[in-house]
Amino acid sequence: MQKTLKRINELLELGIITNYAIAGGMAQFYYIEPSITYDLDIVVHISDEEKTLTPLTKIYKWAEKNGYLTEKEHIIIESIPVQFLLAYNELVKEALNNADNIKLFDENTFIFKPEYLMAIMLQTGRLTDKERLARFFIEAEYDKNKFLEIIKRFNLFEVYKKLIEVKNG
Amino acid sequence: MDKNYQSHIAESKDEYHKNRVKMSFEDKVKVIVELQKIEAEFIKNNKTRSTSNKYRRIWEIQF
Repeated sequence: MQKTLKRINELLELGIITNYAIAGGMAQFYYIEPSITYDLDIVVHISDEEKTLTPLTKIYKWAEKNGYLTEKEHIIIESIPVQFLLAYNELVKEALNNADNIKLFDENTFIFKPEYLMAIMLQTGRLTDKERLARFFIEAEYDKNKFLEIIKRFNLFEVYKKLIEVKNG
Repeated sequence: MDKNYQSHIAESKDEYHKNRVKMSFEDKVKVIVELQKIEAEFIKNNKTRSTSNKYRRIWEIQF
């Protein structure tokens, strides 16, 4: 995975992306017990000049130039399928702007904070996300006040209340 | 079944899972790869399981 992160950092150095953060399952497993996953979600920001109708084109061109195969929306970078996603709404944009700078496998990288991951899971609302969110409540170390502040700002508090009611039976 | 025995099992499982949360990210990735291997074995032996996602394969990474 070190090689994969190194290549993703190369996209930053080349200016193809302006910032990025690990999101999705792999980011979640940084804070809770791991379970199975097969891909690495990377949320990226692309500079305004690069924004076109197909904003991820440069990443795919870079992949092609480097001999990395693509499978549907994934690029297989050093054996790991990586899905690059644009920050698709205001919550994800804010999560990206507030990502933590950490070291993994001796590589400098960025990862969503737990409170944002939890808010995104609440917003997405898939069954998997609900299950993972329940695990965050039990296992993760997070700032509850910060989480509540985020979900209130993004109109997710009612969704949270409903989930808690279900959880507490 | 003895209720004490059941609560003992639940407590011991909780403890086990708590410890796994504390693992380093590097060790968590090792667990993920092991889980991928286990699932591949299950899929191989259980024809009813879906194998539709092509990208669902074991990561060939060095630790």
